[in-house]
Amino acid sequence: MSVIDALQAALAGEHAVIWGYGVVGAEVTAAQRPDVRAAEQAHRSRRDQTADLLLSMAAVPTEAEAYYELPFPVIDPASGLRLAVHLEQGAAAAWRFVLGGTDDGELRRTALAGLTEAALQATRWRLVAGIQPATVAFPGQ
Amino acid sequence: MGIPLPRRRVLVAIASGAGALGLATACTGSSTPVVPTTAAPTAPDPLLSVLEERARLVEAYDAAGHQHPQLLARLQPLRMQTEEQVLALRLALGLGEPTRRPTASRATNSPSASAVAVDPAVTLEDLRSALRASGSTAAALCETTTAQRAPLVGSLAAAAGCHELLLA
Repeated sequence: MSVIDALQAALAGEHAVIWGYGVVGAEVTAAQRPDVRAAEQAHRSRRDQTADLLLSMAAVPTEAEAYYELPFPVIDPASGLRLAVHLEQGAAAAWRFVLGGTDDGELRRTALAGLTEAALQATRWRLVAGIQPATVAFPGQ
Repeated sequence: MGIPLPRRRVLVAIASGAGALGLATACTGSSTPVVPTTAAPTAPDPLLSVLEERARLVEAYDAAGHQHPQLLARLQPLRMQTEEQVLALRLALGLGEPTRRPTASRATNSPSASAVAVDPAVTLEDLRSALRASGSTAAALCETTTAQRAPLVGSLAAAAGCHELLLA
């Protein structure tokens, strides 16, 4: 898989995360909603940066799907938070994959930032949801 | 901390062997004068620094838990994950699994508490500081290491940030 393919996969992951946060936001409590919004905004920024990066590499950024299948029923705040963890884990995995697809130091920094931010946000959601342990040994793996 | 480094020894042996081979070629009829050269010292694998820092973190968690038992529940999951990281790094370096200390021995050789601050808040800050340093080492290496190692090293950099967050 080329680095462009890996970046396209990461971009597709960001599209899915943004869509998924819409579902999360509909299920969490009102008090949790601002944090969901902030997390979603962070992924919107990363999505735009990734699309710009692909354009700079003469690639056409992949577009968002109209609909995504949820990995499990999301019916209440608890399952909403579990979905938020799931989304961030997926984003971390996509960015981790980019790391192995390039020798370019700057691109590695970009991918590591994506991996780290997603891993940190997954940790924050696990804390909110009371999931233990709140971290994993190898984020993105 | 004494982490055995058999791989480095193997690399040095191979380098010495290559030097000897060059000398033998020079003695068997090459018309071009060959100046025997000493094999260049093998640079330590940069992944060793990450391994050594994570291994020190495991010891630091042990020492902190010994000095402050009230922190054990908070530290134990992080310690276990860091131990998993040490194992992964050893395997990536070809060092194999570490020799485990027997439980009894571990109990009697409890980590020295002398290096652990009396104030638990200071102890936690010291751990956070060690995690930041280890995360920085991994993040810097992530930019230059091989494509095969970059996902592992990047994951370790991210994990350090997450562990630091949990100790805040």
